Amino acid sequence: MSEPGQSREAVVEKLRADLERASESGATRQLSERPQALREYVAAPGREPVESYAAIRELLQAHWKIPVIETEDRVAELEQLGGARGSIGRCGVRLLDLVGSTDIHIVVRGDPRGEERQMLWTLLHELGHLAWHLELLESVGAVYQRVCLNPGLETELARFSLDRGPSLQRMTELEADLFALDWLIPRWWFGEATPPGLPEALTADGHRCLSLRRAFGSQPLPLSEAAVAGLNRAGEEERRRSEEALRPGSTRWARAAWLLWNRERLECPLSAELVAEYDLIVGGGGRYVPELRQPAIGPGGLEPDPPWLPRVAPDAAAAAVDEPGWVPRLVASEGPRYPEYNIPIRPLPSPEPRDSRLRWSHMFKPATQKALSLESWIGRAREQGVGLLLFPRTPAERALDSRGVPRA
Amino acid sequence: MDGDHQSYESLDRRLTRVGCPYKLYEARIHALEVVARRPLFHLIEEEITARIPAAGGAPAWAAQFERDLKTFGLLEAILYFHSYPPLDPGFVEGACELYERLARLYLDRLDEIRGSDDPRVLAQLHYLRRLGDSREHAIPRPLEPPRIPDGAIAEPRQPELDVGYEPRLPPHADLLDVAAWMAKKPVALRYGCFADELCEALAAGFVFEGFSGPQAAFFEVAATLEEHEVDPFGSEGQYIFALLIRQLGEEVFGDYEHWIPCAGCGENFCIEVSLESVNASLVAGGWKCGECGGFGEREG
Repeated sequence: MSEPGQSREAVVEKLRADLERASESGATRQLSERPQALREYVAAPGREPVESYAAIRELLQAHWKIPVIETEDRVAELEQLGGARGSIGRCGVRLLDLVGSTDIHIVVRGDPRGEERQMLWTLLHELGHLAWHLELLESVGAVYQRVCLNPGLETELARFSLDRGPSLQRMTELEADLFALDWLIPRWWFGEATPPGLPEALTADGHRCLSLRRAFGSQPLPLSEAAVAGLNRAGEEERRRSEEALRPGSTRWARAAWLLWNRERLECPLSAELVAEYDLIVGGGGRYVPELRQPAIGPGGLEPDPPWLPRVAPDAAAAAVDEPGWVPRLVASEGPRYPEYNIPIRPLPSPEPRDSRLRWSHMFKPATQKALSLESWIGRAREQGVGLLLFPRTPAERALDSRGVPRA
Repeated sequence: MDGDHQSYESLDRRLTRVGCPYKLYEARIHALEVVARRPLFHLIEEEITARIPAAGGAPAWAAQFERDLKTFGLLEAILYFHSYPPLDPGFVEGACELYERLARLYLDRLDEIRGSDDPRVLAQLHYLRRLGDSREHAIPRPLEPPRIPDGAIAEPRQPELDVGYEPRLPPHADLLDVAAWMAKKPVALRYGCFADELCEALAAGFVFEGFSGPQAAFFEVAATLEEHEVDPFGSEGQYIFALLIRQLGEEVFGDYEHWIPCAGCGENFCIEVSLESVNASLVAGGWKCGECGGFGEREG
């Protein structure tokens, strides 16, 4: 644990310096340097965990320019590669355009005045997505835009999402949990002997159980003989449970406990095979856009059933974009076949809460373009016989706009 | 074929004959493929790159050609043949003919490319902009449609400022980054009127995405103003032109080519950028040579 009595500034500064040291390049200025730095940092032997939510949040916001948005509302919905994400947080990665910058927002559900410990876990879990899944998240962002250049790409994605999406989702969530767990309970804590300061009667299982309780913010136990016996029993029970497969829909505690007793035998990344399958479909990871080298010319085949992207009827589009959501919505062209292209649009930043009231701009046109109303774009797409891919503001972007935080 | 194309001058004459100022990079040819609805880029590989060794260049010259194509575009990549070992004149003429075909097709489909909502076209142009590569060849351009002022040209005047003005354009990501870097914190870009917002967006495009040169830039500005229903010759339009001209004079957009070859007299003439000369070029549809009064009329 970080030294009690240390100022927040000192904790942030040390954390920043430790992360830079952990990075291969010795720096964390570039987004691409951060995942590896985070993974190395949590694995460093002898590291004492930083448990200050405020300090980690400050590091992200002030030094890494990643806004952390706190909300008391639900923050998630169905994810596009299958399955439902938890409702406690979100690592939102959005590509503003094909070759421009990547916007990352971390959303944490809760009120830091009363739920800081729970929010710390959530924040670290979302940071785990950054550490393990940045390339995958960027790739999904790029695929949304590639579907505009090559609508037929949706067919394979729909199939993958249906068949493999839920498994991929489970694996990536476990990886993010494992990152949070490794951050708060370093692996080096569990050596051969009982660490100094702990009763000798505390078994290895009891020690794990105690660490987990502390990580989840339980009240400190006076380590009496009876309490130690209780921890040992509870730890033994957790170990026994962890020998079975993790049940879908398990609680956060159950997932963390299962990982704590299993992590030494798990080989990360757990999702490697599934990500490789996904990469085969999209032709390469990250921001790979083969359509730039070889434009897809001519109409594609039949649309998949069920489709990959959520569809919205033209007359329901205004209501749909005002709903909180993280994924684009497609106003599909008429007919059962793919159109030649989909027009990607997004609303201008504004404190106005409803996207349907805003002007929308084409995502690939210069910033000097005339932004149009949603209705005008719907009419324009209809005239051209093509789809219109709507990228409404995410709840994170809306929160930033309402606070007047500038963003592209 | 008009003789031997082995010298720089003869190749330059041959290639600029078609009068296409747009640098034909791979991305631009892909945009053309989409509107022409047929693959074209492979023709360069088949008709030029693959044939260089047989035409008298070693394979290394084929690699050189590919590098030049990527860096400078098709016209200049062929123009550099003058520095290669002597190449078969028939091959060189074939390369020039291919360039001419593609350039002519690009000019023919220019309006479609410019007005397109098709992301397959726009992604290519967007990619070029992000590379800061919108500069043109400094050659006589095709004339623009003349813009006739509706009455007298107004004096430039900043519109009234509105404290509650809501931006109407997407913020330029690079401009936000630079503002945040200078202030050491995110800074909201605030404007009191649309003219100031549009002017800054236009300037940001020139700074971060490349300045196409004075021959083309003010026509692009005029087209953008018209898209936003701002009269280029009205007081608001003139205000925007005046601000941009001042920034151009201060080299905010970097250095640029002042000298243009005149298709009328064959001499180079210097563009003197002022509000008056910009307005005159908009009215005429091109920049006029001070010597002969002609401008870049295309041959052929």
